[in-house]
Amino acid sequence: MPLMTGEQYIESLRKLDVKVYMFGKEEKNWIDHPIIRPSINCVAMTYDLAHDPEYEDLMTATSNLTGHRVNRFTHLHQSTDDLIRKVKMQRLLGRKTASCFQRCVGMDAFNAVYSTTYECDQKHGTHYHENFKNYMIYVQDNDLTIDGAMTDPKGDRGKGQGAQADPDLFVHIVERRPDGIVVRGAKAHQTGSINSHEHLVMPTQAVGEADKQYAVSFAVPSDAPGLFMVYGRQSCDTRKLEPGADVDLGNKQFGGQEALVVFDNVFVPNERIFLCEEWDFAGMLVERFAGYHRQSYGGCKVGVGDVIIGAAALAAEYNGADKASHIKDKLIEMTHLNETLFSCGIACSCEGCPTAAGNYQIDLLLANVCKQNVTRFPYEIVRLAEDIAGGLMVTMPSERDFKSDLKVPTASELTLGDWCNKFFKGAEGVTTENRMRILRFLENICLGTSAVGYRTESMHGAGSPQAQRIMIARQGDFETKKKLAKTIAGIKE
Amino acid sequence: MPDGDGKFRIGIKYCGGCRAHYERAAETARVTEALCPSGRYDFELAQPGIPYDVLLVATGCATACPSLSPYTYGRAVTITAAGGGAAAAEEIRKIAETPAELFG
Repeated sequence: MPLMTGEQYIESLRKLDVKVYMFGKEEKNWIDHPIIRPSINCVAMTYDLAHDPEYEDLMTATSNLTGHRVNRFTHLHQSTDDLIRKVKMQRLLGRKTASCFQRCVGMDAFNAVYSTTYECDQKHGTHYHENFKNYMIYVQDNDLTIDGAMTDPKGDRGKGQGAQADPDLFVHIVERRPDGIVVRGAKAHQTGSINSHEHLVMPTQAVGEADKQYAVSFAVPSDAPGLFMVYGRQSCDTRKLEPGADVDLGNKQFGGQEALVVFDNVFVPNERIFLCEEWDFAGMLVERFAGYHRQSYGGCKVGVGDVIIGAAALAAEYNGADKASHIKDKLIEMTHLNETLFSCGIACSCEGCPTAAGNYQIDLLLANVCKQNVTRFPYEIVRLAEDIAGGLMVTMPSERDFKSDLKVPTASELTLGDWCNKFFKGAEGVTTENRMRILRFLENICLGTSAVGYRTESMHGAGSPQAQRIMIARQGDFETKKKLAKTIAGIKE
Repeated sequence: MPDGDGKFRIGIKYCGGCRAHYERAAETARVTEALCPSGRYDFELAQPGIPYDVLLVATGCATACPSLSPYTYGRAVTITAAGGGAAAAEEIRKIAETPAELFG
């Protein structure tokens, strides 16, 4: 089954015995839970579009391992063209869902682990690359969704892995056995982890020799014994539990998802180990995954930005303000910011290069510049969207009020719905419900459940702003630039 | 230059649609609606390895990024913007009416 449909993907999740906890209890039927399901629908879209002739050109690729047509989310990039197509695919999915579609972390992990295991084997005589190639064939042939799991809880940020009061605050090896290893710890903020068939775990930061038990990379199924997840709640999430909720949700069909993934003495068989105490390669793996993921944001957030710009333009129309010059200027500014992000995503892809293993990686400096901009521009985009939308976005009554048949006991004898529709009518020819819908969409993306993906994830996902600045400092090549200045200025030393 | 069955074979290829500025499928539908009544043209989604007289390529923007190298075709006709379907249909009609020996 090289390419699953969305429906097949959802059914494949039902076959797993995944342990999910939410609101203090185990959620057995998490797949159909109204809070979780929109995030599953998002991942399903990555499957469905691969079957659609209008999108398959971006959504699929030819595997370098098997020659089969595979979903691009399981592909190892073979050229700069592949890197560009990855960004374009992400923009497409952002436009289709206005949400985080979660499958990028796996794709970025595949490409980082593939090249790092190759170089690790070259130095240490290990056999991780062969392990990983076999794993990738399994992933591609079964069209799996994989959680690329990097971020540990990290505890006291002033201390390293081995100095924490609780050693479990970073995933580490607790036992080596002839047939594999036993690991313990957790990964936090894991995007799409519950919706993933497997978890591909990587170290969260560089590791010193003294802490080599933290230099570990491996893959386990989501229902591996000892593994469980705790759902991360989102702003306004319980609106999804309201009976008949539709307009008030803003985006009823799609959403993002993060969870805490706990490994309580989980066994990893030898063939699924990709790094095991080779501490000198932990930093390389982190840097490469982060680079790919910082490129990703130059696609996915841009697609979501497209929908936000469209929603802001509609809100202006529905408010009757679309002819105002300052509104037009704000839409132009939003577009400028959004396309700047896309430019960064495309640029770091165009300047990509092959790794020793043969797959392609992005230009690290440009990818970090891309993500640094992503930590800022989406905030300005939603600020402008809120400006255009007006305060009604956060002050209007609920959809139940708008739809209410309750007679209000006043002289007019109108219903509550009549009163709400009367006073929240906007431009001529626009229904009050449509005005509500677009304003609720903006509310959701600016400060509701979708703000998790568009705002805070833009800030901290793929590394917080300072992480990019460290990489920019490393890659900035200040010495060469000083020489350039000396030459032009006539300085001879 | 129709095939042995006398039909002029057209393969439809879409770009990936990352930022399509118009409804690509609506434009290719305009082409099929314009040409199908004659009964002379066969349309299908383009597949590698199948020879087409014309590859009708609908791209969402002027970048026109899809690779056409996997496909076998005589001429490519590209739609890059809304309203391009009518011109594409006319271009295909002209190609179909051009004697095969004029093609290199």
